[in-house]
Amino acid sequence: MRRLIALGTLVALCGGCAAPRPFTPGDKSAAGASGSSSPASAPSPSASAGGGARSEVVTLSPDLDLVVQWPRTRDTKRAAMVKVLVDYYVETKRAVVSGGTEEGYKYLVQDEMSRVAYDWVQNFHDNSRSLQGKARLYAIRVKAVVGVGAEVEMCVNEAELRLTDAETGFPVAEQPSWTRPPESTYIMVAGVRQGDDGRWRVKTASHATLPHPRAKECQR
Amino acid sequence: MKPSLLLAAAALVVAFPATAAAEDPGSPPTTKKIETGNTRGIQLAHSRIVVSGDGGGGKSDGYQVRRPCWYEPGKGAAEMLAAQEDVRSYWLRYTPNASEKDYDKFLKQFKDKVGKPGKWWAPAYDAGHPNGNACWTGLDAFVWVPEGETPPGGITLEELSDIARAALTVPKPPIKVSPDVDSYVNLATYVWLEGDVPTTRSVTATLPGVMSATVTADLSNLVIKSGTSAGRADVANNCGTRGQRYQKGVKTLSCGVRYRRASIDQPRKVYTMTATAVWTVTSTAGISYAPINMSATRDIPVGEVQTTVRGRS
Repeated sequence: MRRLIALGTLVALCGGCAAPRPFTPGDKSAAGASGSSSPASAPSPSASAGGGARSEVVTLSPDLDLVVQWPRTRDTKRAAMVKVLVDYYVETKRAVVSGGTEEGYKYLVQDEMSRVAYDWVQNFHDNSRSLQGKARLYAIRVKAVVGVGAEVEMCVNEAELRLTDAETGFPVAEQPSWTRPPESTYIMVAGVRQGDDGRWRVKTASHATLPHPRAKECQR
Repeated sequence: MKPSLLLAAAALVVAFPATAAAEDPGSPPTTKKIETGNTRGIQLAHSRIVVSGDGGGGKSDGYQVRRPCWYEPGKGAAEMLAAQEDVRSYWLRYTPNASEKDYDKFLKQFKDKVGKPGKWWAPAYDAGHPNGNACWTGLDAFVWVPEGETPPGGITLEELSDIARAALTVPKPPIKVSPDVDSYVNLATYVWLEGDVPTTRSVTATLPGVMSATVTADLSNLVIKSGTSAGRADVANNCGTRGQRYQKGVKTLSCGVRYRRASIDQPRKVYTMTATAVWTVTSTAGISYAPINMSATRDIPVGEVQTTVRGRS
């Protein structure tokens, strides 16, 4: 019991203990890396920062469009939280259709998501696969903010996306289940974190597809 | 690249089992699917804390931990270094524009701790808390803590007790009433708990090798509410923990309701009686918790007995 009490007491005593800081890949680009922490062609919620919602089409290739329904917000901090999740989605798709030349997504993630995003993109390359069609991102909102961490949700509809053969450019004959309802609609829930450099990055993400109750709010 | 800036990226590769890469390229680029149907009061994520005891598994009463994220002690210095060395090639692939030199710098901070007493502490959280994910996301991936110290945000005994309290559930009281179907004006309705109802439930939250806290709920009494105003019903609330089972010949009502008016004018033509089991909660950590109240309701239709008195003629 003495040990238990000591541990509790030390919490109060150790207010000045130094802690290592997390990985912030944006610093790398600031140091002259070829990638960008905020790709120039990434979508932007700036038009909605004044309070008006707007829809934006991001063209990643002649055959792939992403339609982003930006939320209404006058809060620039919340707009940045929303933007990093949208950018993460956009840049991972961009990495896929570029065949590996675009790696901007690596600057938008940290910790666990660095690995998850890399594996996700690499899986396309390893299997010589790509994407075409259209995906829709909507109902994007900040659910909770605690210190430099936040939870952001986003609905995704990929019913018009098709998995293609990266070499021929044609859709593969047997399309995966995620291209068809109900799996083609899902809610993505992400933990995003603001680094010491002020930039937001995705630290974790999970998802639920229909008919999960969390995904029902994505039905339109 | 600054070594400290690279710390977290590799650490979580080690901390969590590899997520299966999408078998079909293109399914959502996330770490996991969201679980369904959870009724527990707490969902520990990225945690080493073990919750045990006979007081879990039921429906949560809504108690939430006061702080939904914290640091826990994890790997020792040598163990962490070995784990980081194991993922070297992986690290170089997913870290943007990383070089061998970057990796060596990154690894140095782990090498520097080898031989020093202490542990790497990692963040954990309650995924059932509305702010849990955001709170955890705001914490560092891990923190070096010298032996005998606790980092800011490190879990405390009180918080461990809160976790046990959040996991603690009590059953809905299995109430029985007599008469069971229809009651009548001025007739006593007896109320008691049916069957073998446990009167004690407890949950222990343990941080292995460090500390544990046990929270216990004891059934203290049963409280009856008639579902109508005092003028329409008399309530007997000397129920103890079990209530008062109807026994033929016993006239005194100690736990139940004697309705004075018929329920014909009530919504659905019944009174909705509520029986609440009150459980007092104690903690080995010395934390005070409010009692847990778990209620069950019964519809009581109350009729009037029409009596016709005829004189002899």
